[in-house]
Amino acid sequence: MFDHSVISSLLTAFQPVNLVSCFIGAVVGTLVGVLPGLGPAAAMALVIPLTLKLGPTAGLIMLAGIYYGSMYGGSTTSILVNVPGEPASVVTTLDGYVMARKGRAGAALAIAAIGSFAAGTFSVIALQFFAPLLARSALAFGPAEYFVLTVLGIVLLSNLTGKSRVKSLILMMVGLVLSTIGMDPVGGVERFSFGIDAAQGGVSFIAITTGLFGVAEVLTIMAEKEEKVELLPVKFRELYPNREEIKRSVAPIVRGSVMGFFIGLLPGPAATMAAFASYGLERRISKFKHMFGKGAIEGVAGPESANNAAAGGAMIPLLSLGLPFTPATAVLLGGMLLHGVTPGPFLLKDRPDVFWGVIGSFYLGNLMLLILNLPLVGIFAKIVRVSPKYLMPTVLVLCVIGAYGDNSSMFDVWVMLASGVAGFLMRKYQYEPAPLVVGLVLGPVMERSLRQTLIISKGDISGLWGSGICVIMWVVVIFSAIYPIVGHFINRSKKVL
Amino acid sequence: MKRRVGRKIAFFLFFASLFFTQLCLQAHAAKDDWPTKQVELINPFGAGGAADIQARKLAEIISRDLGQPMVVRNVTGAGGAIAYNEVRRAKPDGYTLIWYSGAINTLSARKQITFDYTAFDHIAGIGYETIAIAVNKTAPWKDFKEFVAYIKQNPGKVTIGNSGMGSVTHMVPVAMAAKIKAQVTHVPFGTGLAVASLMGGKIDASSQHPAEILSQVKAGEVRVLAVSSAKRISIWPNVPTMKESGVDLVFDQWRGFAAPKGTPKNVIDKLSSIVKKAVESKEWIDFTSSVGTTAEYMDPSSFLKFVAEQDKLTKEIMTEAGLLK
Repeated sequence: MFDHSVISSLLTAFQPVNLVSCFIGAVVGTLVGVLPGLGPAAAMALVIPLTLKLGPTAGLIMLAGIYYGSMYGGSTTSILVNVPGEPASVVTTLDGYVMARKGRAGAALAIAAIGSFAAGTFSVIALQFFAPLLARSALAFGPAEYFVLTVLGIVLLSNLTGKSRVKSLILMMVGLVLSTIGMDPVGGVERFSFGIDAAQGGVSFIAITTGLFGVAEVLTIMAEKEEKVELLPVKFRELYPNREEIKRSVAPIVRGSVMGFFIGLLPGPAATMAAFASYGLERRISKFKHMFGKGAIEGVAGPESANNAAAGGAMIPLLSLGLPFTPATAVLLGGMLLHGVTPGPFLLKDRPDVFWGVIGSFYLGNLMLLILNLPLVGIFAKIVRVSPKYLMPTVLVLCVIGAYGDNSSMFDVWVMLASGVAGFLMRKYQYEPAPLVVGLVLGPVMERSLRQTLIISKGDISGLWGSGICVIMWVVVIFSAIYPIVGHFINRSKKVL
Repeated sequence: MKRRVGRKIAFFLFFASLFFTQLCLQAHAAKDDWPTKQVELINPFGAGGAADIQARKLAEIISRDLGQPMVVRNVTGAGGAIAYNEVRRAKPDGYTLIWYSGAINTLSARKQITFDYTAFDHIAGIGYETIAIAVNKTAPWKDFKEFVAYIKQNPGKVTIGNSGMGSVTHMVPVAMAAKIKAQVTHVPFGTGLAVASLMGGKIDASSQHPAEILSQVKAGEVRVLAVSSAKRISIWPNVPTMKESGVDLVFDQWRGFAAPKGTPKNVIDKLSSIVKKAVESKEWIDFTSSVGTTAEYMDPSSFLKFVAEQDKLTKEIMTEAGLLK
């Protein structure tokens, strides 16, 4: 794999025009990630016409830079002001924001950047060496397999935050119900839209999450007494993670990278799911279980690595099969076609310069993003020291722009404000909103794959366990569902003895 | 000191967000010497898909002669209903256009919108995009005739993936089944995902635009049995049309530009002539044939006539297939 021509092609990423394109892409990507509402797919679509003048290699390097750059920026607002910049960063709010309020914003931001870098680099290495092999295995997943996978997600993530299982399940159901609003993805029938045009497309994920997290936080702080929100002064040295925090982050970063990468190979909201899955895993196996939800660094390190690795994983079906599984990779595919480059098995043979140039730029871009983001940590971390009377109105403005900007729809803004009030009440009565988001993300995938499976099997329910992969996953589902109950029973009988 | 830094940041964020809001809101100013500001092309399809790529490329070529940029904005959801609603309600001043296609026919036939093509002023037709029926490389059928024969012998057994209920990729297999008087099972996917299921052997065939399957065909992963257009397309000279294979069906996706009813005639004529030049440019023809579409300009009146015919045809197919409410 590593002959001379490959190395020299990888080095094309260092040509001045490519270097500059990569840098611009990384900077734009970071901004896109920071701003809620403007997602990577929309930003890339806007930039495509500009890249046409750069030629395929530089143009695609810039587009790819925006794509993975946005995964870096997404965590920033999650950590600082509890507003997820990207869907994939929702879970980062759970511990990242708590850390920020304890004066460890810098540590959380720095670990997020380092984790993103490690995961990004890991996924490029995997992409470079195993792409064709992995792409094949992704094809083994059809509708039936996705359905079981979503069931597994529901079971494993139903107790994401480890508080009340009943409350979690209730909220997950609410999320699933909310996801059915709008045009039904299979039959094309309108549901629960009550004649509102804007609701035909469903409720916006961005509007709900900015409301549940961002607006709810603003309302909570408003309701608190002034002196409670005073933050501890932070010394410069404390802006960066200490030795213990780094040590605790290593294993979650490694686990998050590997898991995120494999989830990234699959269609659907891979980066978001990868982040949630990583959080669920870390909370279960961590030595600091009791710290989760109270500012555990693992809860930032794992998910932030996982979503970056997933973004890299999603490049594999695109580059080796020409199949875009996510909206963002669909835009990349569009960009490639406009540049006269056809992705797929022939890309490496037809245009090795483009293929290796883009791969090379991944290594370089990840390094640039790390160097770019670490100094920003210091600046961003100061934002939490801004007095709430200035900061909170700004956050609210940011939320409104984010919700509006997603679809340019005022309806979304109302949804956001309503979710904000709901989120505020949920907090007052100790309902954690994260499971609702899981339901909202998994709902459409689950519904579509279930109905596709049943259409393909002509209504025969055995189609749901028609392949070996399905059977294995069902066994895992059943085990995961029963284990907590059995475990509870065993614990109790031990106590009795 | 601490406080001042905080205030500076707050001010910066405040003005940054003001600036951003300004970008989002559209200034309303209608003048006679159209266009005096950017023209917005509302695309009902998602960013990056076949329809979107073409819209962006064509908008770029048109912008050169327009004197103002033509900007593509994706308004997705509800199979395009949201976008059509938005454009219909927009001011008829020539600054809001729709990236017009067969969706107007299917949406109005299924009553997903309360109006039809008559709610728009037709500006220009720009061409056709055929539908390709593809099967896995290991499929037993040598050609379309064998495929059709198999469907007839095994009613309802063959699964065909499409990109969504009511889309053109769904209409073609529906119409095909009606013509051969046999049943097939339609499986709706999102764009691109049907191809993955086809390659993974989860469905028997899939129906999509050529652009979505170009590289898989080139790699020999899938075979295209037939296309739905009147003539063979230039990138696949060996793939027969359905008509050649004994199924009397010609049904394509068509695309063009339209504006809300009441747009001034001088605006329509000016834009139509600019679109004509762009559609007939070598750059556009080269690009469209590389992704398997056929460029063909239609003037406002013949475009209106064409869309009216398509509307009738769509309703016939849907009634026959029992898809109308």
